[in-house]
Amino acid sequence: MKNRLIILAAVSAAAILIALTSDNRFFIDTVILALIFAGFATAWNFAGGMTGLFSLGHGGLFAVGAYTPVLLREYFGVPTLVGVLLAAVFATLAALLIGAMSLRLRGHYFALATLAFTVIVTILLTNFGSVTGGDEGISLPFANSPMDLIFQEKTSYLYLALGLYIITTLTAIIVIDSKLGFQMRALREDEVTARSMGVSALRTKLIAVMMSGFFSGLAGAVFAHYTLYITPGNTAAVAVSLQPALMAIIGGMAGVFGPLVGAFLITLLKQQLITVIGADIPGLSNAFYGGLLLLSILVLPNGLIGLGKLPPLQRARNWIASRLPPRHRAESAPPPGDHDSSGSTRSTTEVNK
Amino acid sequence: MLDVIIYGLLAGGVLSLVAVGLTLIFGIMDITNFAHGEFMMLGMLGTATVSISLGVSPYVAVLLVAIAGIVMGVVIHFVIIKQTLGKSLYVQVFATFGLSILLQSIATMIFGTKYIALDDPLASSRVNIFGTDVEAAKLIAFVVGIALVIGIWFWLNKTRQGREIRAVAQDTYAARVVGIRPGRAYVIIFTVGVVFAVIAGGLVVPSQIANAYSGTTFTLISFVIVVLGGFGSVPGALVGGLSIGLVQAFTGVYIGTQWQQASIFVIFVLVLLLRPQGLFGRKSGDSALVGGHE
Repeated sequence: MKNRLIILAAVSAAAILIALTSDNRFFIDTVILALIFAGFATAWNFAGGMTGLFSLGHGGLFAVGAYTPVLLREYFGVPTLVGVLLAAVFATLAALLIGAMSLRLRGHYFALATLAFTVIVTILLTNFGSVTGGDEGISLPFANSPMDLIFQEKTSYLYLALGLYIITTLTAIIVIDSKLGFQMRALREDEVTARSMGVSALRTKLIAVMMSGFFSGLAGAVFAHYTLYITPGNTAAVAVSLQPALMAIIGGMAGVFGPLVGAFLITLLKQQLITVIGADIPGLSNAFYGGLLLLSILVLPNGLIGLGKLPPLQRARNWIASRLPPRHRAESAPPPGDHDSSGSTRSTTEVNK
Repeated sequence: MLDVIIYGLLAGGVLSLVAVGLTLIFGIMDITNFAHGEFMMLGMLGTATVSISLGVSPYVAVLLVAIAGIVMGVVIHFVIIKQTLGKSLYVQVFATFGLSILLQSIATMIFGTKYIALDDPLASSRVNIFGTDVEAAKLIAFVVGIALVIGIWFWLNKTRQGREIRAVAQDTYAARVVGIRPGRAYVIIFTVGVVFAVIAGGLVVPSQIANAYSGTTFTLISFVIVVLGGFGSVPGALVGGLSIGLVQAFTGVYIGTQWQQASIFVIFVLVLLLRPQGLFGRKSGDSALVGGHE
């Protein structure tokens, strides 16, 4: 816990340093987006990484968070700060739907059901165009009004995004070593055993998705006020829904800081590809993005943090074991107590940062 | 009323053809393929382009494109899909999602983002089915689609090779013991899935405009059909495809076309919650949770 707090402090210090010294708007823009998505990915990780609920429905929660404060302000004159809080509350309630799915479904079925949730949110936002602006979305008025979370200076947004990230990560740091955190991991590793030992799957899963929903909603609200332009496409679409999961996986799902690493990598990659390759040939930068994504998921299924965490010998043994046909593997398997940590489950058991 | 049913069934036939590939890839290889609709998109754009540039009928062009689809299926299987066999769900989801972005952007580079429309005298002629006037293209797509789905069902159930493939799906280890090579079954099934999606694309393009982003919708609809029919079930894909066609047609006529998509996803969630194994699927061994073994 202490180490994690030190890392969090270092990350915050680095972000503040960037805010104070850099005057490269493009770079600050990257950092802000990366921090917002790092918050979102850390939120996803409460359900996806810690509890093993591989949700593809978080785009829906993000959209609830993005639209709630904007619509409440526009139609009911609700103050923005209250709206942001309500956004997190509504996203928490919407997350209960994902929680309900997690109680009955698992694996592919759960992933697809949650994906359908996102698609339904997208369609609702598109079809109720008279309220939500439909496909074209809503543009927020650009005015310097800090009480509405709309700032003139990009650096103010950097502090806002950093605040979002710190709150989310502090919660994650507290949860991961608490009794709840152990129960969540127990459910992820082996639900039947965990339940037989008295872990309440209902209670633990629902708390996990509610925390996940709360912070996803907050991230959505911050995103809306930073981009000042929200559409079903940039908040709820399938691509948005896959984003936090992707970031958490590329960075490493098992710890607290994997999602941060992944969020920075993916955001940088996307922006740099467009800058370097340019938009002269439509599709080329996206092709690189897809190709790199494919490559990294095949080469690094445990994420970057997973790479550093496995001791070299263990890695070598796992690699050899994975190359042998099954019957050799059985002979050279480690003693029973160690058995679970080799082979297919190693991705989640050994990388506990 | 009757015309709505006919329109729905005709649309559903092609949907069955796309979904049957996805359901086989899932049922036999245990792979969740998020790039499936992109193969259909490539079939649509490929057929339209070949037909326009060579000046041949789209029904000739689709054969050429299907042959290219075989090559594409085999290559993608060995380069990408083979590496994800037996890996965890998120590796599969993001490998195939990366593949889908890759195929989409390659299609953007080759064909641009413009919609391509195809005009063919045979396809746009009208036929009369039980008093309802429909485009010939839709009837042809329906007949070919259903024929291929029934064909693959016969092949899987009545031939030696088909039985071998089903054996791999049931128990890979036991299949290996009796001398079946699972690797070969995987190549065949993945390629058949790709080619079916490509053909489905070629069959719909005479009556429907297409661009590089047309595939995503079909990926999602195919997943709905696969879940509705039961993962891995060919009759399920057939019945599921026809039902989804009907639901879309009825929603379009009686509620509004903008709700067609929403209706099928609501059905999707309801099916997952009430009968997750689908219409034709078998119940999972783990009674506490559906999909417990994945």
